[in-house]
Amino acid sequence: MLQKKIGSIDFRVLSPEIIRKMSAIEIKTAETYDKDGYPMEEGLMDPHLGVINPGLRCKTCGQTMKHCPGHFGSLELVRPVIHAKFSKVIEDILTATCQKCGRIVLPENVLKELEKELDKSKELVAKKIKAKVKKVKKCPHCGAEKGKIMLDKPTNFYLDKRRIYPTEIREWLEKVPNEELKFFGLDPKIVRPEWFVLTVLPIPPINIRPSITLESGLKSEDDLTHKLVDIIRINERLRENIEAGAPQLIIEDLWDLLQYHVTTYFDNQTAGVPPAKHRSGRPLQTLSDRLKGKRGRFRYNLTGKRVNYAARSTITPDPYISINEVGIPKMIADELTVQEKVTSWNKSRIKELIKKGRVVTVIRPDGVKKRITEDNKKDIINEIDAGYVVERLLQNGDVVLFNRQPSLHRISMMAHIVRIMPEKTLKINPIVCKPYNADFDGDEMNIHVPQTEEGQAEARELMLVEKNVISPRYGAPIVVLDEDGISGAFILTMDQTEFDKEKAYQYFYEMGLEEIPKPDRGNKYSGKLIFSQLLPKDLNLHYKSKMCEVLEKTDPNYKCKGYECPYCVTIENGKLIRGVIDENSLGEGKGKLVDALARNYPPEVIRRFYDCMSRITSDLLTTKGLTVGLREFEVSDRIKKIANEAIKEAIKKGAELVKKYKEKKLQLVPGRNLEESFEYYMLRLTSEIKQKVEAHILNEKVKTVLQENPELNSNIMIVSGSRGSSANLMNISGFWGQAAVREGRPERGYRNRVLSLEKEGDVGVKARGFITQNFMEGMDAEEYFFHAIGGRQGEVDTGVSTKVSGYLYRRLANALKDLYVDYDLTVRTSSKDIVQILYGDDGVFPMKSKLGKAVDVEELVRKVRGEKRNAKKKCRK
Amino acid sequence: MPRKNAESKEKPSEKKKTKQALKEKFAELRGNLPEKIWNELFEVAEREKLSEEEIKKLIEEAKKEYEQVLVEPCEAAGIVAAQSLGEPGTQLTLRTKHYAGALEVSVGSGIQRVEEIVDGRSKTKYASMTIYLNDELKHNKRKAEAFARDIVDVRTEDIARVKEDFKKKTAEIELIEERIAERNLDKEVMLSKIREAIKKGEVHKRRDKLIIQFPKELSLLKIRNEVLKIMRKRLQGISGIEKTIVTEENGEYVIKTLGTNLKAVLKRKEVDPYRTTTNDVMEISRVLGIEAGRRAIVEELHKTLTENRIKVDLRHLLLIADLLTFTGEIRGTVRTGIMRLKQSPFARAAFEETVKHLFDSALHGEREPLQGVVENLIVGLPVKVGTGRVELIMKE
Repeated sequence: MLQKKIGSIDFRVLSPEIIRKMSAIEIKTAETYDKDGYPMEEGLMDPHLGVINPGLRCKTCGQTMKHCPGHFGSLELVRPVIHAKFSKVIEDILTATCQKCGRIVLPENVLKELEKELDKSKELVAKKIKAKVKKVKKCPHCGAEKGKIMLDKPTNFYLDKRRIYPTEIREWLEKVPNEELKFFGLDPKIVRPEWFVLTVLPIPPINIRPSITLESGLKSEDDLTHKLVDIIRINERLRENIEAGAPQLIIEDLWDLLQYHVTTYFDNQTAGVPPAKHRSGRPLQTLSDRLKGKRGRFRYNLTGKRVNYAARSTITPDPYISINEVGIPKMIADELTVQEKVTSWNKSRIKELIKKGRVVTVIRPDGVKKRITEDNKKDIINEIDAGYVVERLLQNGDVVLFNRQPSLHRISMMAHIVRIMPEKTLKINPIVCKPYNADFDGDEMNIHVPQTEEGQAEARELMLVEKNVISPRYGAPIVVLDEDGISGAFILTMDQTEFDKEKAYQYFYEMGLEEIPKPDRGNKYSGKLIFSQLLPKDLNLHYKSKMCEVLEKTDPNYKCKGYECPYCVTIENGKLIRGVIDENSLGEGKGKLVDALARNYPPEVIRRFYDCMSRITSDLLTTKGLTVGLREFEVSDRIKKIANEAIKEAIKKGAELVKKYKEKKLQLVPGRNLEESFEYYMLRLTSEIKQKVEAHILNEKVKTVLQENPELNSNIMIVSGSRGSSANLMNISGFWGQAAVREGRPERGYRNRVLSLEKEGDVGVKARGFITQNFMEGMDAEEYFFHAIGGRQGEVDTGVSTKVSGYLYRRLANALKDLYVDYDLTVRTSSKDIVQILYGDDGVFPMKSKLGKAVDVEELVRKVRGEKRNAKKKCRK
Repeated sequence: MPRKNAESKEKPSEKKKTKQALKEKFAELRGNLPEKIWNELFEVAEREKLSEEEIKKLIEEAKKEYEQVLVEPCEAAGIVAAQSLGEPGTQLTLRTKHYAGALEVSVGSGIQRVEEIVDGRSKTKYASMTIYLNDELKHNKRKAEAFARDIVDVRTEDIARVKEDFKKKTAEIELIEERIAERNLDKEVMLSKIREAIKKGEVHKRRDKLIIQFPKELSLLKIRNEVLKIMRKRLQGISGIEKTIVTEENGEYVIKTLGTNLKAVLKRKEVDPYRTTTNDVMEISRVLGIEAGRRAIVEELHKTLTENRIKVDLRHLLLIADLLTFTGEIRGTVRTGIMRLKQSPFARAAFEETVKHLFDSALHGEREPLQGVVENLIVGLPVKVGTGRVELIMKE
């Protein structure tokens, strides 16, 4: 089939001749409909302008509504008017040319020289001419006087303070010779300056200004039609007045009115012109309003396309489906269709589908579409053959694109495999929440069904979830187990965890193991052994775990023992020998284990790992339980004592600082004055004290995890890094510390104090937002208000920062979107200009790099030597 | 951005010689391996004391791996870079400034800083320099501090107040004790410097005061102008440097400043011109050229992002920096910057100022070539990046 394709688009100014030529009919009357409700001949709703009623045929082209594109009409203006959008150009030309002969008022030799410069910069030449003609008083070509042109925006021109009307301007512009237009950046083949003064106005087809019939039977016209009615009416009045020989003053008034209407017809927000209003007082929406802005034609309709073959619903989690699947409600699956070509191989299968009623339409090789009904089912089954295309309903195994807004990065849209399920929500494995930034508090997501084989193949090869585990932003995993997933993996691989045969077999079954390993702890299986079954047999890894890091941070006596460290992860030949799996193995951007799985093995490996982990961890957590209770936030008396002493110390030291500050004896911090230094000392004081207590609390909580039979509670989450941090723990069990507003202590509020509870002039610790209580104990009024100050700032900041970053992103995307990597690995713009000689200066794509590193040399050395691990006895971070 | 010190001056040690020899020996095996990987290979080879056989194997392996990680042609590198900076944008803090370390000057940070760099604004809001000192000063705290004091821009109005008497046509300039003490200046030197600035009238000195008797024929307006001129006179330092702080960094003294004037500072012999730098990207590109400007953009963006703990691959930042600078001057991602350079009227119209761009294109009879992304989106054709760029037709 021959298809027409747009190659390029030219932009031009319409000449009066073209306007008349393309006009289907000349509009002569301001009436739209007659008494009977039929469109008036030669009126604004003339049927020659196109059809918008179904069933009727166009009087110009004879087509039906669907095929008639609409036709322009024209309106002869009695007197010409200026096109306000071009008045600046008109001003430039009038100031530079002679009224008598139309030539630029510069001597021949000067023009010659300027002509040479034209190739370099047209803008520069225009500027030079502007500067030069300013001084000229007489035309060097014909000797006529050169007056001064003034533009009273937007459309009124004055020559030496005498108003000149569009007729005069048009005559003047006509005189400007073609050869000199180039000095104004105009090409005479394309545009003549006199066209900027309108003598005939194109009337847009009714398709773009349809009238709406209200329920009451009244017709409501489009804003554009209203505006056009105004123009025609004034045009008529002007004609009548001229014909009747009315006084010049009245004619000029009407002429100005016509100018006003034409100006606002193009742009109702022209500066210096009051916007034309609807009867109700609402400003009319005219041509330029339709185009511009976020909701205008360009950004809303042309770059924001609406599509078919899409569905949307609330999402809910289902850890028992694969990460690359999406659970689609039956209701949606019974509505969405995919095109499938009938071949000799799938003929029988498709016939079966038709029988079951899973095919909606059939498209014959000649392009005729047929809907399948109960009646014609049999005929179609007989008729169908290779070369036909059917539109069948969605079925298991189809590929769909899955998306959550805001689509901030490319992994906001990935391909999933359809799995039709009961109920009415879209189901996803919670592992894919991270890349979509989704949660289940009512989030909705969209699916799109790719219709062509090309589209489906691209989706499967490039967009499938398991092929996008590594983020193109920084070259580390982004599709990761989080929260419960990490907690579960942590519990599973703790030294203490073991399972009896029954439970272990269940997990082996979930993994689809064919060979069941022997129990390693007498009759029981250790969690580590079960976990090891998920790893490829040739995997060798050793790295530092989060657990080890936490211990190093909190316990001064603890020292990591490198390879022998019981907390650091050691995997040999696919067996987890030592260590616990936590954030450093699985986490976003740092999970070493998933990074290795996603990078060095085919995508199916990481998918299987995630699928199994998802099932096992959710089962583990439901059977073993992971709870949060008040008890685990209670701290020992020792800690309470430490905290109380720390607070006392802070208040004491704070008071000392205040004393020194008031006496101006404070030692200044270099580069800061007394106040700034004081604030700096106060902030440092409180944060140091908080940190000290925080370490103590964390240390105590870590120890509970290492017990013989640890409680499965929030401490596990903090230690494994799945959720929460020691800062949260501190806020709940220790004390809140300094409430900060914009990096400093709160200071605004009442005169010389923040809250009315404070003494005036008190700048001490407590008076400026040091909160000594925690969430367990609760705060007193004073502290509560300080806490609220900090809380509000955070709330406001998120609101503002999404706005700011949204605009920043839009501009970045607009500037960068056309860049692509060429076959020679240069980065080029759409017009093939080279931006980068070699992409990223080394040609490496971040998604394929390891946190930006192209080649891991250390790893290679091991490979060359045939070693399984680095000989050095230090954990790699 | 520390530029590399002239290392070549040092004698190549024995070790380096062998490494160099090895490098040359295997040079023909290098293929298209980038410099960085190539160097790393030999560093590791030397440390691990690999045999030549092993080195050969290592190079082969590295080449294989390198080819695996190359970009695929047609990759929409631009939009990936934009997403990499845009997506974590909400995580950037809203703070406009922060103190880089306890004892330092405030610098811009957070999303506003990123905006500032990417927009290519001509003025940096919290401009600051890091001045490295030459060998003589960098270990001598006293001298470093003296130099730091010396470059601070001090104007008469900073340390003195003025009283004008228009009847007598006199003006009294009095030094302010505290301000002079704050800045550690010498009173007498300052007074003599102010005196130099006085061009008209007679000057009497009375303790800390300078009394100027203007000629009687001078008009009041002229007297006022004269006084203002004296008050604005720079008494010492480098124009634009408002504040300096000496800090210690890696065992040497470094001066941090508020305000920037790279050109003037680099002229001073006390500084180490190779490493001294400013956070004003535009200034670097003005003084040191566009390539330095490009590096500065990357470094500044990277600094801001790491401060906010946002991981973005350097290659994305490089691409953004390259786009901002590839015309030879820094052009921001704003409608007056690189957006204006786009050939396509549709692309410009879809960004900002829709109507203006349409009229301009009509006036100049522009042609829409339909090569970019939005343009093709508008007319409903496949966009020419990624898989949409490949034009393959299957043989029937």
